[in-house]
Amino acid sequence: MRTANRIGALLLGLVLFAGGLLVAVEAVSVAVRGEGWPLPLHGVFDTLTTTTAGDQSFLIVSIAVGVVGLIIFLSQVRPWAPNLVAVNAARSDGTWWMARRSVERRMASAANDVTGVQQARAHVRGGRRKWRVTIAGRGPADQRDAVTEAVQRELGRLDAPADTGLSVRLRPGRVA
Amino acid sequence: MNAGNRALWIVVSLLLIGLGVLGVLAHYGRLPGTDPSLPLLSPDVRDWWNSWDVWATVAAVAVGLILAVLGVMLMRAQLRRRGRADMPDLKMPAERGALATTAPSTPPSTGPAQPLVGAAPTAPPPAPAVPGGAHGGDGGVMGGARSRPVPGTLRVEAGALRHALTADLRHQRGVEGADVRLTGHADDPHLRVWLTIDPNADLTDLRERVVAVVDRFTVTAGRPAMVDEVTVRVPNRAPARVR
Repeated sequence: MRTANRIGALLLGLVLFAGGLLVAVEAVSVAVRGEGWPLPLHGVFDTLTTTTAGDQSFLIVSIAVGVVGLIIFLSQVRPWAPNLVAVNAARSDGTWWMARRSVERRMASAANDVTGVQQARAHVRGGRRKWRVTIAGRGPADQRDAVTEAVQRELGRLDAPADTGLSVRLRPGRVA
Repeated sequence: MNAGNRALWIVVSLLLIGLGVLGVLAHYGRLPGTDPSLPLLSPDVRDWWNSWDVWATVAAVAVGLILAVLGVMLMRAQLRRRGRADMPDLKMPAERGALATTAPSTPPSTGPAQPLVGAAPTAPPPAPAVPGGAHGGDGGVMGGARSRPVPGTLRVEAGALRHALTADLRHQRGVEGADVRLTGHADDPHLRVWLTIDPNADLTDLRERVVAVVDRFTVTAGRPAMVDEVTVRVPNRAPARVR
């Protein structure tokens, strides 16, 4: 989402730059030549002076604009997973950061190493400094403690914050 | 940057929602002061534009240029690198630089305070020295570390320090890749470090080795370095497990 926001902002800047220059050039062109350049303004003018707010096309465009705005709004206000999380946090001389996906891979790998556990996936949620891990996978229920222990051991190797939450969900595996 | 972009897009989305809602209200005649049967733009607007004569053009050009400048500022903000500016080259009295190059010799594996660049020939550094990384302003001090100090200014390229620091980090056990950015004032270097580590690496052990690397950098640079941020990534492959 951060990358999408950045690319979107870059495109918005490009649109503002190109649009601003276009407005300036069109205005000068209208003043000097009596007609717009590089875009003919007659078509735009005719469309705007013949379209009414009661037209169906106006309603469709209005709804589309509103829906796009709503989608953007919801995507911005929902909680984002952190891209980096604090590790080595117990030390006093600063905090190291690890890519969230790297943490997820290490945790999932630790869980998958437990006998009988398959398709374990890890999700890291929360903030950059205070985060939690959720492990979901297939395996016998009595291996839950073993998975918890393995993941906690891996969290220890990362020196993750002491208050890092951990929840493990194991569903019964398929019988081959 | 992230928070700013998020705020920007929230504002943009609220504007779009507002426009959409106003459009729907106008369509159904629920917006005071509007008539759904009237065109969006009155044909009289052409006369209104002409009545302003040259000022209409001036205003349109001004608005267009303001938009263009805003667009450039927005693009520049997205492309700008985060954080402080890159550190300039170090400049120090030649005597001081010579002292740094003749720091106490200790074996590479146990000497956390060994210089990274231009170490004495009797004690090669763990990281390769960068040729041409330092230039004596008066006779080239770094090439002959055991020569007597000479007056003048010693200039150490920040890029050479960065390369040496990066190489030293890459040589550490458990580190597969490293990148470093040196920022801040030459008298107060700050480090941002990116490490790609072995999936099996223990971060607590690795930290000790990185601290030793930074200590060696401090000896080389002749001034303490502040580590602002260390970002660690693990390559996308499963760690090898010993069962």
